[in-house]
Amino acid sequence: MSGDLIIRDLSCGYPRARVIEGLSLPPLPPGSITTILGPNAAGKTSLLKAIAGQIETEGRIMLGDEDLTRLTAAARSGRVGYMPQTAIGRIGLTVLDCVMTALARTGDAPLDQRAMQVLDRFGVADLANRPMRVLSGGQRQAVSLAVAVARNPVILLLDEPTSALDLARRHLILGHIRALADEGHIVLLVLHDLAFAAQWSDRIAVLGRGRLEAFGTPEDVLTPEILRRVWRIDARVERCSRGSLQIITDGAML
Amino acid sequence: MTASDTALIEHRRARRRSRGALILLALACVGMLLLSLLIGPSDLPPGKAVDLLLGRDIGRAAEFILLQLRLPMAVLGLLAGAALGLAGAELQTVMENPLAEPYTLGVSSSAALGAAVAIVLGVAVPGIGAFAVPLNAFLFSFAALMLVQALISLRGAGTDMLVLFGIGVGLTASALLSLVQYMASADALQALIFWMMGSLTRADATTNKVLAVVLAVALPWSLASARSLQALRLGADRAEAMGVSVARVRLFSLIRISLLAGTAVAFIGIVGFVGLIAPHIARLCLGEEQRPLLLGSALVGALILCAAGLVSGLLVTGIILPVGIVTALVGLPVFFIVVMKRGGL
Repeated sequence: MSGDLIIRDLSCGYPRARVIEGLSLPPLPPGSITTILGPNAAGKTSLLKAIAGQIETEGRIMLGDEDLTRLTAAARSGRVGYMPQTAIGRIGLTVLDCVMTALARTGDAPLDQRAMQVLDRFGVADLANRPMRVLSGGQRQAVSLAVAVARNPVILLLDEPTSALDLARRHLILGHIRALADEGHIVLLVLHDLAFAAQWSDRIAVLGRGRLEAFGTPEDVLTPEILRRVWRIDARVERCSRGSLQIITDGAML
Repeated sequence: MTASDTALIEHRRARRRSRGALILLALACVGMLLLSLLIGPSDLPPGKAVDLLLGRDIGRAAEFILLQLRLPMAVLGLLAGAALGLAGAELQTVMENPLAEPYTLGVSSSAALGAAVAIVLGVAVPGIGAFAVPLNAFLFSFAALMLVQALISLRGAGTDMLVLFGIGVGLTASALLSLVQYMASADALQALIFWMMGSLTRADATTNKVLAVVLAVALPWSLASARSLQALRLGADRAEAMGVSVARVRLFSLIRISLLAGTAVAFIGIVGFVGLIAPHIARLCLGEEQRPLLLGSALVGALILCAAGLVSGLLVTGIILPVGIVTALVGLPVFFIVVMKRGGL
């Protein structure tokens, strides 16, 4: 589908506060889910915003041979889909209107038809004509995900896409995200739930105060030592009977 | 037929309903214009207006009342109402605040200050006669919005700061207005207060031409920006991710709002509620899709102000009340009914 996403010597932040300083990640290949973990204020959201082109950045953000930082906002939006942490608000636009807004000026088939296909895919077609105002937090988050991926961008930046969902819907949405990765998208997730991150990620990048603290498979990264160093918690990491990692916290050392 | 097919059919039906509602609103505006010609504060029988429309001779006095008084006032009501309704709809979108109206950003108090400077202090653009007051009002309201925009650009702030700066600029203009009023002579103060009450009686062919030109520029421009404004409804971050330059959309929108509201206020004075309630009523009839909403808000605003102009001439025999009083007295209950019906803003 495309080349790897390459992040080299990335520094970014806001006018009065540099959040990330000289961050480099190993190449992120198509078809992979990389989860960014870290304590609060580690720079997770800033990293996604930097890749999405929403904050000032220095350094290189490449998609294969293409320098994303040199693209116009419109061209970048075709390659990068971004789902912010906050779901779409309680507005009067219908679910279908929201997806159609994201799809405007793309493709040839009728806009509403294409938007409906996106909703179908995420299992929310039955909500199509309902205003966002009447939806639950979880439903609005599912629609927000549909809006972010509607244009079928290569890179998907999803900031806590499951934070408002119950356990069953979390698995459902992460299943959809897995399927998107399997189609060749490069998925970057921000999650707070370490067990979910362990279960659904191919690789995990741990950030702490704007720097890369660890990168690797969940088994490599989610160790008691790293959890103590970055999160300042005492924790044990165990495997459950079905093989997935479980993190059992014994106490914080704040 | 699948659930998606059914949903698509329902969506397309809603679109058709929305187009139908827009046509009805446009017809209602035409109807209100005709009604404003037929009835008014003078004793002219409605048949005279019909005769005029049919091209019959009705005498110079009747012709003067219809063509020089009623028609310009009704047209000014339609145009200024459309300008305020459209400005209100845009402002509620860019400020992400359903309580925003053109005056939230200090447009009214700045326009009033401009008018006061012209009426009381005599400071205005020379050589334009009766246009000195409206031009001052427009220039001051335009400057106020540009000042708010400049503060936003410097600070890189979001909608909360936009509201805060708007209120700050508005309060400063109000304080300066009080100062000018304190220094004013009794005659100048009376003239200023009359201007501030809002009235359609200052209508003539020139005022209407100027407003028509402003609307002819702003309305298509606004409709062309509907997709970006709609993206903004999903949140600024999300709109940026769709390739929309949020800062530019907000700047252009503020320019349109200042053009529309500044010109309307310049010609009719301070008329509240139209910019606030017109978008809410339009939203109730048309939903929140921005293109029909913008057009619908302009039509509802036109209908409200034209109707208020008609009522203001009929309430007290022989007197045309300031239209600002009518829109405030009628607007508030209507606004509450709309809000209650929607179950919120």
